[in-house]
Amino acid sequence: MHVAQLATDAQVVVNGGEQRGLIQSDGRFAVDNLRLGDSLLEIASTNYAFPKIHVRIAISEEDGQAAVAARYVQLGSKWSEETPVLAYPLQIGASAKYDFFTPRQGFSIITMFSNPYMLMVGASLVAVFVLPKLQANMDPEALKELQAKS
Amino acid sequence: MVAGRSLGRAALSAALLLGGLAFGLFPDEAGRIDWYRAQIGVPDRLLAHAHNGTTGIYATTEQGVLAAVDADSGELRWRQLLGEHIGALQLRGGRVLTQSGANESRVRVWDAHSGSLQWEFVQPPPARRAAGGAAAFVGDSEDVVAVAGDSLVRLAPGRAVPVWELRLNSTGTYRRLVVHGSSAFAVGERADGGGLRVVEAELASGRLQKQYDIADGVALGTGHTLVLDAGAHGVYVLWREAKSIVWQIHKLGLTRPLWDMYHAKLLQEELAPEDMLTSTLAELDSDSGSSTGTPRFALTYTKDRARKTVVIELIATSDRMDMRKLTVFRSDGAVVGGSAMPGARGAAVAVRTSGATWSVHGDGARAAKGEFAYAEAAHGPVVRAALYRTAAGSTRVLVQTGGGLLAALGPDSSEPLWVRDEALAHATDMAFLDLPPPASAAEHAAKATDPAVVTSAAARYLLRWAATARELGAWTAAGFGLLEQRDKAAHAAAATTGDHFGFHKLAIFGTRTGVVTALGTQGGARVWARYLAVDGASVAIEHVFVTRRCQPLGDAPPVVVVVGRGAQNATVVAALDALTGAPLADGRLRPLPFGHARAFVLPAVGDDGQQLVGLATDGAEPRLEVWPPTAAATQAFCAAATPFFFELGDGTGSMRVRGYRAECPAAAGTSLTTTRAWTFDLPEGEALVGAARYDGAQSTALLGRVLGDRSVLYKYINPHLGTLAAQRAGRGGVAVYLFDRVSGRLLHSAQHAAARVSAAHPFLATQTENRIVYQLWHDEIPGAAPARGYVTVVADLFESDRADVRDERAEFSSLDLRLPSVVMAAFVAPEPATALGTTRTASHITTRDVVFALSSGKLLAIPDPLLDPRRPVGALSADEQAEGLVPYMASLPLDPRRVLSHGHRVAGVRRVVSAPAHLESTSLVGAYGLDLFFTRASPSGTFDQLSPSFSKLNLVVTTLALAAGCLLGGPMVRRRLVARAWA
Repeated sequence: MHVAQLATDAQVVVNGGEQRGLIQSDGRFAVDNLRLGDSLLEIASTNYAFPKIHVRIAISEEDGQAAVAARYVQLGSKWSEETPVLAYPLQIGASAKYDFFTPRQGFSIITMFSNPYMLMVGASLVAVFVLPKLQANMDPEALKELQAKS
Repeated sequence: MVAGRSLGRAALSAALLLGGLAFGLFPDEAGRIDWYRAQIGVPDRLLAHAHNGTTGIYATTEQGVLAAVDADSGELRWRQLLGEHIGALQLRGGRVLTQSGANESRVRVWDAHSGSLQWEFVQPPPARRAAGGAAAFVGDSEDVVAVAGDSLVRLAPGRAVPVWELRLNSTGTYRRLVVHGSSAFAVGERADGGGLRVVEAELASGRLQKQYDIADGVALGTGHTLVLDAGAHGVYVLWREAKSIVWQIHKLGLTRPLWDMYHAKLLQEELAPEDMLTSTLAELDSDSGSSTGTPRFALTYTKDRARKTVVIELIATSDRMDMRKLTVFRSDGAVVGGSAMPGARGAAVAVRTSGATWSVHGDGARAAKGEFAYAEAAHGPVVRAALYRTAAGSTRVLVQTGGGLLAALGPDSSEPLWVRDEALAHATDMAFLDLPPPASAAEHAAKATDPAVVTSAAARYLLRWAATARELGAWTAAGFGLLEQRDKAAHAAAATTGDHFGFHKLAIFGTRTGVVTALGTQGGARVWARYLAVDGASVAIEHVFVTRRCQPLGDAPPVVVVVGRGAQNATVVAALDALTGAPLADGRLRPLPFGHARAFVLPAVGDDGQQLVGLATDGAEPRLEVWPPTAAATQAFCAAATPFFFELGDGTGSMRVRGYRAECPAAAGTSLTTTRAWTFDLPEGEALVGAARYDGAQSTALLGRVLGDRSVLYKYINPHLGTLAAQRAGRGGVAVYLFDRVSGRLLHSAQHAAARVSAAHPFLATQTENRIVYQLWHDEIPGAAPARGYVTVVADLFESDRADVRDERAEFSSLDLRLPSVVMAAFVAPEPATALGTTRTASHITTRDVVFALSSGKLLAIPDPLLDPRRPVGALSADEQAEGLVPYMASLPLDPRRVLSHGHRVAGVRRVVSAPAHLESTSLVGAYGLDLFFTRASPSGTFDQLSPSFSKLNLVVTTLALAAGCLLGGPMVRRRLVARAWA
């Protein structure tokens, strides 16, 4: 998916709306002033689904600089440390385009003839046209035997 | 592994359930069963800009929206929801520059055509208080200068840090920024409030050139100050100090000199000092940086009770700048505006609401005037006017009304070229009105064949047959889906008539801008609108109540009562005909002599069949005022509905909720005294952050929940159930209390230690029947730390935790309550939400969906089984399977087929509403906030309608085939029988 396909009002949402960022025309985005610790980063888009990302910002003991570790997370599950860390700056792609509609079934001969009404019609036609012919082809003696039984 | 298998089974069961329940929307239904209106809100700033042969109108609004509207059609081109105050807007060469944010300041450059963000700069919160906000392009370059936070900065695209930054040290609130020559001037109010301060910085380096004070006691944007850019001649500030009769002029960059402008010299008319004190200034060029070098402005004054406006031009003479009077016109009762088009010559446009006329002055040969068709009673008076020209050179006048209507006018037609009704972006409450069903052809025929009218029995017989044939034709058409089109056509003619299925109702909105508007729920067409004002100030409407419904056998019109606040918070109540919007009383609104704390519909009906309204006042001794304020209404209420209880103090920040009992007056009167019945004190350190109650009257079809073993778990249904959310100040966490609103008794409480409520994380809740659903942000999701997110909690209330045990008492009383047994479950919400609602159907047999208005603009319907707090963890037992339970999963799925709004972005939803249709399966669902969206939902599928896959063509073909078979086969069979008889 190219970023141009994304609506221009799509936003980056951190911690459920605590911070928001806008997506530039070249696809870049920035969210400032994130707090230290764990944050949830989401892309709010009407038409595309994006993965949710766990962002951990920690101060490195070595150089005192902030280090960012980002991982994909699954909604409703624990944020595992074992999930691979994503490259930073983050590059996020849409996981799917939403399909909001159920396709309506078009006209189909097979569907039409599998309809109970059509099966009834078919059975009636068989009864009207085919059975008399079967009866006519039967051996007269067998026919008499059948009539005698009935 | 076992856990994995059970999780897999749970996922499979959920998928099967969803697959079974999800009917989704068919592509051809989008836009047919639903409608959507994207709005921007009432603009606080409007600019027109032409680029690449097209003209757009760019607006910023109170709700923090930046929007571009097509200047020729009024259609929304794009919008950006910034969600914060926008302090500056400037346009140059197809680019839009904004500065927004009060604490954290953001400067952004947008593409004017598409609305995409080109680049941005974010200034972190200043250590000291914010210092206003302003932004300006630097000539024709890509750079901008801005007041961001407490600094003046120069920014360039592609640079993360400013080119230079000049600290302003909290010396003032700078709200104007002008780039002139090699300097940037920031003008703002001094921190000590003593007047204006000017900061001049060198454009190339950001070095402070000068910093000085002017204009004692004057503030920007008050009509007493003006900044004029005279191009090469400099930038000038005009102001008139309080109680001064002269205007003073100062050229920016020169600490001295100042010079004065005397009214008599300028206006060539003698004015008394008190007349001079009435004079105010108005900008004619909204974008000061686009002036042609001789900027113009308008000066309005009143003399001998006549209001006049003078258009004045600032011109360069041999030694200094001077003022020249261009034209003068009477402006009594007119709103005077100026050019909103950068580069256009400043001219004044005067728009008069009375008489609905407009005229352009000071534009020489291009001066124009016109009239416009306008309903002031529906939209309020004109409060703002602007002038612009289209790319083709046509003059356009843009007017904005007090009610929130935006209209473009042209000289050639009195009809507006386009209108945008933005009042509904400020809707505060809404009520549905059921409409009377259309009269059938048979009913028409019965009237037409009245023996008193048609005396011939034969004629009446023929007329009845004709009517029956018409009715048969209509129902045949209905079978093929043609009735809906027929109904739509009929509705266009009679919007106040309902339809056969109850899909068409009136949605009556009250807005903060004083407008009451009724829209048809099918199509969203406006049926009527009424603007309410008291003494010239619009009424901020808070509540809309339908107090009398449509009466099939009566002539009394349905009534809608709106409650709002006028000036000084005084309560204003108006009763309107719900079908036409016409006032029921004499039409003149008067404020009531009190301010209400709460308004509600009372459980009593007056003599005229209208439900009564109660207005509770707050204070040491609250009172209950009955509306209409007549002794008869009060007596009717006292006879029918006492004792009556209500509560106060459940607003945000409160620490005590108080319950009151209303006492009927001994003598005739309309006011009831109250006695304190109970108090609900929150634990120390807690304060309310949210409250919820039932939305409208409730009813239930099933008293209990049938379990897998055929035993019944009876529902705890308490119409007085209320929900409170309180946040602990020190150690954090949110407590949710379920309480009885009549007795004040605590029914249940739940603690959410890791939850937090704030402006970004509101407490959302919806109550229906015996279920409360609420949503809270959790900094740590219990059991899944450090995971964070929104948690949806569902609480079902039952009479007992044991099956087949119920309260056998015939009457329910809040004063003699048993505590409920509460079953709760928590789920992780798929996305942040801004509002919750529940679907409603006619008999409540259909299951209910909870509708989540997500901040991404989707309306997501979550089916009842997925929100069942009894969903078992792990594998299902035989009884649980028989009961139809779904295995528990922590997350709620975002199934796109359950998104009612499909591809629309329904932005800023504040409330989700629902009303039943006549078909039990179908619920009307609406959402309003910034945008409006209405649709139909069928939580259990359209079980009382033909399946969408049912082919009427197949049925007809089959029937015809059977008939043809009979016709063809009949003679053959007869011939065969005859032949057999002869054999």
